[in-house]
Amino acid sequence: MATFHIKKGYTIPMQGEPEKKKVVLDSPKTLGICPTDFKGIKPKLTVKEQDKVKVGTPLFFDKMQPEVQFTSPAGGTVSAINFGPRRKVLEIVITVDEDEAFEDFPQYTKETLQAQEGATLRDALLKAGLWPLIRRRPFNTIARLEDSPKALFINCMDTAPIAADPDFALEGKGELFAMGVAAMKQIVGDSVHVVTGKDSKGVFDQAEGVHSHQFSGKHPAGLVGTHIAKIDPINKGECVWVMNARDVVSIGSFFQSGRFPIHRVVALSGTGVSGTGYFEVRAGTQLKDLVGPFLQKGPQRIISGDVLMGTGRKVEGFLGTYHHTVTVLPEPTEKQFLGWFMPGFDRPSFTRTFLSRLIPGKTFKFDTNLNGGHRAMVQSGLYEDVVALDVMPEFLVKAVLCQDIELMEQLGILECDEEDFTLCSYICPSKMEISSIIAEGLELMEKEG
Amino acid sequence: MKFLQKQLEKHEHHFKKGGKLEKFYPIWEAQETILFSLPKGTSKGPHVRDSLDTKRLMIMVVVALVPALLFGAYNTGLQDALALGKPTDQIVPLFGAGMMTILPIIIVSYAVGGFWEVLFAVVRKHEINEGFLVTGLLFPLILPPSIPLWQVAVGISFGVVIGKEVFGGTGMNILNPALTARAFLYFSYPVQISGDKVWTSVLPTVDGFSGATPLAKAAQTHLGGNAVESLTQAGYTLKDLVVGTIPGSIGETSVIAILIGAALLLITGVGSWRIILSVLVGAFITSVGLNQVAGDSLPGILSLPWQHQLSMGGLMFAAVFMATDPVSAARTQIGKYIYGFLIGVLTILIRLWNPAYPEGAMLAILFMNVFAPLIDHYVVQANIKRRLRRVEV
Repeated sequence: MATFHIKKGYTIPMQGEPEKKKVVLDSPKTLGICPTDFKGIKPKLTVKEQDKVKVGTPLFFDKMQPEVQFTSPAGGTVSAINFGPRRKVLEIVITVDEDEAFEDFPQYTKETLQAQEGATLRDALLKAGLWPLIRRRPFNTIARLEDSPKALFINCMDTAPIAADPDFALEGKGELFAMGVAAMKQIVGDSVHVVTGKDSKGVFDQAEGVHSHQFSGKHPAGLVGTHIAKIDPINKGECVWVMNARDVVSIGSFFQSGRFPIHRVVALSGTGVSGTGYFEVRAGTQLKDLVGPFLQKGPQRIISGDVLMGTGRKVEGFLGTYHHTVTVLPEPTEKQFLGWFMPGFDRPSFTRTFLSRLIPGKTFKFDTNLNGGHRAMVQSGLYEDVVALDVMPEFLVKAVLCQDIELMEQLGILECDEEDFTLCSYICPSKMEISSIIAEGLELMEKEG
Repeated sequence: MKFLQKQLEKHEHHFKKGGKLEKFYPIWEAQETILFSLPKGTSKGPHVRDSLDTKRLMIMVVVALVPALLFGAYNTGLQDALALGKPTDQIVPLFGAGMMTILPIIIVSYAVGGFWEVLFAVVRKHEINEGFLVTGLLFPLILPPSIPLWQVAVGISFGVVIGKEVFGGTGMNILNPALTARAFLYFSYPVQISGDKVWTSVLPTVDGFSGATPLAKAAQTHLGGNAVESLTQAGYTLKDLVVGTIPGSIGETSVIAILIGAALLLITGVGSWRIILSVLVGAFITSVGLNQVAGDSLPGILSLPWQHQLSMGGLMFAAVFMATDPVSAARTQIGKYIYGFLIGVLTILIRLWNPAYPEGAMLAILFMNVFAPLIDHYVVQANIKRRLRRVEV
């Protein structure tokens, strides 16, 4: 086992860490799925309103790769399909039957699984709508069928602030994890890397025949982009597949039971709720069923995902497919008199410009304040401190801004993902949206390259 | 504060879309964000942001300039008193008199420069940039106290408009705006900014008061002479140079006051220690090297020891406040070392070969501002090459 310590990075000193207790929520009446969760697809619906669906029935597919199906997380009736501008499909809402029906898929044991051809298992994942859980780098889109990945990286840690701890959330799921890994090994071959945190309690140790690695350090030590860069960096023309431990468990559970996995554990965190913890919920849960009872007074931002990479949603929205944390933070309401001039004992900062630095280990109640206005890039040399990749963040961002594709590639944009740069956006005094700029660059690369 | 907030909110609608003063929204925005930190939320992830913004960043530099400014006021009063043969033992009256001399310069600099800044913000419909808070104070501090106010106005206009706004505003400029303004005055009106007569705001009445800066005295050392001796003859000890009770630009004379500011910049991380250190190292190595070659047929200033070189003229002020301007400096870490080092080297060399005006820091920094992108280019190329090598292995 190889161990890595990431020296760069920053742990945002936030309050609202999810409490280590598990609660099972009742099955809700309404579930939903958002095609916009999946980057880079063009969804084509295969159901219409009032259709009856089972758990695992295809709802839509990707026009770019028609084999890639997206299936229903619930058995019942399609009660609404919500469109956005230009008839973009935003949500498919399903009213759940009392007695849900399931699509049936073949069941395996670990031994029969290992006797299967990779192609058979791949087709089963495609048909059941679990293929989208496998993503690829570069571009962080759903894995392509024609890919021949040089490795699969399974990320079993999370260092984002107040995010779910996979070790706790997946406690007791070690066998299913091993099952999922066995299935993925049949599909991608022997080059499977399992990356755990330094404090991992052994949930992920049951996987056999994999390369194990341990990472420690501040965020972004827990990002798969960091793992790839340290273990086996992507060179020109190469690609790797990446998965989250939770999704590997889902795949393991799918092959064991022959049913689309409908349960998952998400952490509810943040200072905008009165109670935090880990909740076993249905995939596609409406956020109000989860956060409703805990929501604090005043305007709150409900984020499906962690504070760095999650998306803000209305309380009627649904839990994102890839998300295993729901964060609620208060929206800013108070004006602060001469905020930029005060000594700032109560203002958290990565830099040493506020006196709060004198109190080590202090945590703060964050709201979603931008804390400033958008400006041109002024200060230099800050981003390097929070990016763990061998790239020059500032120059990469400038290459993207002037849409110089060749320079972007030379500077290593294909090794990067939006999430690797969220801390740059966080610390930028000019409040530049660095991670969004990187995302735009990658989009441009994918379109042109 | 609630009262003030309410009064302000009453007038806000005039500046909003459709209001009669809609065009001047940037002015409204500026006063509002200066008084209150607004509850403006993030529009996309990450959903939380650091407390540091450019306002606080810039204000740190302004605060760091205060010791140099206060000492500058005292020293201006002191030099005038010396020139007039008045008593110099009371600090407060000297400080007050000096303040009366330099305050108009600062006010003109802020008012005229601020006018351009606001004009460009209104025309371009973007928020007013707080970078000007720094430029507007840096510029007066590198001027002689006798500067005519109209030249302050012309200089800061040139610095802000040509040095910065034509490139797109703070963050886009190639040259340091304050130094651009200073260089413009230097080449356009050399009489008012160089020579021995400009460092007091009054006409000397004392016989034998020369008013020449130590640097000028050192530069006048005869061939093969000892520069320290010429300084001593002129009455300048190393202690005077460090404390700053010497003729010179308003904020540049006191090494101690500048170092207090430097400490703040370094503790808060606002100024780059890499640049400050490498400027001083560059100057140190060059002066020590020149000491070695100093001899009979060479200008006497070559014999000036490093501790004198570092503490006179504008070098210390430039190293701490000018070279560290992040926008016009090199932006890569290795680039910063090279950039700073060459500023130090060039400053000393220009002092030697530009006897008409023996201060090199301004020109050295402007010169290196131009070269900073080139230095960065090569550092970036090195990163690209390293990445390509990885593929070949």
